[in-house]
Order: sequence, then structure tokens, then C-alpha cells
Amino acid sequence: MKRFILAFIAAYIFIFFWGWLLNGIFLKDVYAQTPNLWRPQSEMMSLFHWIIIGQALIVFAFVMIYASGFAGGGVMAGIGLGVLLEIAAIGMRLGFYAVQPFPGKLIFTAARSA
Amino acid sequence: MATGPVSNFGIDTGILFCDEDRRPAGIQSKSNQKQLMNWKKFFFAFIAAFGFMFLFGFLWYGKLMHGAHQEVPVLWRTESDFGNHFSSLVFGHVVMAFFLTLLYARFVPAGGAGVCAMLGILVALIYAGADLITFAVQPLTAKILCGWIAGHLIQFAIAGAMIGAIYKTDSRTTT
Repeated sequence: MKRFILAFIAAYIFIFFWGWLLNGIFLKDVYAQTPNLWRPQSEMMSLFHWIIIGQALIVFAFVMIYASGFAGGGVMAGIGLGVLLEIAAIGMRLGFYAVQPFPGKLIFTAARSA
Repeated sequence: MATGPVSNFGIDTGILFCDEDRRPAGIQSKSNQKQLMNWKKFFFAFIAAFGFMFLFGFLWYGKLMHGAHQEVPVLWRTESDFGNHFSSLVFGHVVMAFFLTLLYARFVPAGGAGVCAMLGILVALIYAGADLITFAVQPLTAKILCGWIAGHLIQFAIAGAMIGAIYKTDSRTTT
């Protein structure tokens, strides 16, 4: 359980800063191409706690899956699990792309569940 | 008897299996899933998962939630534009079903509907987390958010159970 908590905290810190860097900095211009799809900045900030909770849920489930069936493989198993889940998430984003008019670049770059 | 390392769902507590050496707590032995991978069963499980997920998605998100989605029409493509991008929807489901089947097969080489359904719920929680983030950045309604989360939980739990049930038999008899 101690390792689980430490892994959760480490993964959470990483995903939080990676999400901010990728979505808030690198992809800012891409998001700006479709302003009608996104909430205004002030509204997003008022709902920021949902981002915190969402990321915590993602990390919790990820660490739980890893601890339940992949821990024996060490770092490589963790990378493999992350790659599998992210490719599945790309599949999900392809589905969203079919119904939402966002730029195609976001299918492979948005870090919703990376 | 199953030769895979995972027979129950839960955090590894370091309890030894019959084919394992002593190791530190929390560390599982490397699985021998490569030897156990049954591609024929895998293919059937993938087809079943794809068929179910696509059909469920159509009914749940396309039909049951149609009214909720129409509350924010600005978020969605027009009917004709959606038709032009329909291949993305199909391909997305193929990718998702394939890699989820691969995940389930690697996670539980011995299969089993119950264990894979539990894994499906955990995978659904990842997507639910992504839904919460989407809710914070896109003008979705709470109804849509709840519908998506419930849909993901049902979809992945059932898909997991199907994959586990299909993948189960041969894997358990393979040595």
C-alpha cells in the first residue's frame, strides 16, 4: 500500500505538469483554432477542481491496473501498459473526432489520458 | 490448471505462486503470457469486443443520449459532416477494441469474465477521469457528463467480461 501511494503521488505530479505543459503551452494555438468548442478561460478556472479530480481518477485507475497485474515487469511493464492505454485512448479520440469538429492534430497529441 | 500469474484481481501482496521464487513484497514474477497467447481466441475476442462496443456506442451515445447532446449543438458536427468522418468512428472503435483486447489478454492470460469485467471497470475509470477533464474545458452539461461516465462503466465492464469469457477456455488448457 505504501508503494501504491508513492506511485500514485509520483504519477499524479507528472501527469499534472505534463498536462499543463502539453495542453496549456504547446497545444494552446491548436485549441485557439476552435474557440467555440471550449469554455472561456474564466469558466475553466472555476471548474478547475474537476481537472484535479479527473487526473486523480486517471492516475488511481492506472496505478491500480499496474499494481494488480503488471508490477512484476517493472519499468518496462509500466511503459507497455501506458502505451496500450494511450493507443486505446487515441481510438476513443478518433471517435470524438468523428462527432466533434476539433482539429485533427488533437487526436494524437491531446493528453487526456496519457 | 492456469499457468498465468494472475488468478485473482487485487493488488499484488507478494504471495508466492507455485511456479515463483521468493521475491520482495509487491513484485510479481514475470508472466509467461507470450507462451499462452492464443491468437485465434484473441481474434474472436477482439471481434466480439468491437461488435459490442460499436453497437453499445450507437445505442447509448447515439440514441439514448441524443436529446442530451442536442442541448449543446455547437459542440457537434452536422449530420452530413459526421457522415464524412464516419470512417474515423469505425477505425477508432477498431483501435480501441484491439488494444483493449490486448490489454486484457496480457493482464489475465488465463481469462475469466469476472476478472476482466473488473479490469474493464478500472479502464472505464480512466475514461471517466478524462470525461471529468473534458467537462471542465468544454461546455458539456452535467447530464452529458453523467451519461458518458455511466456509459463507459457499462461498456467497458461488459466488453471486459466478454473478452474474458471468450479468451478463457483455451488459455487455461494451454501449457
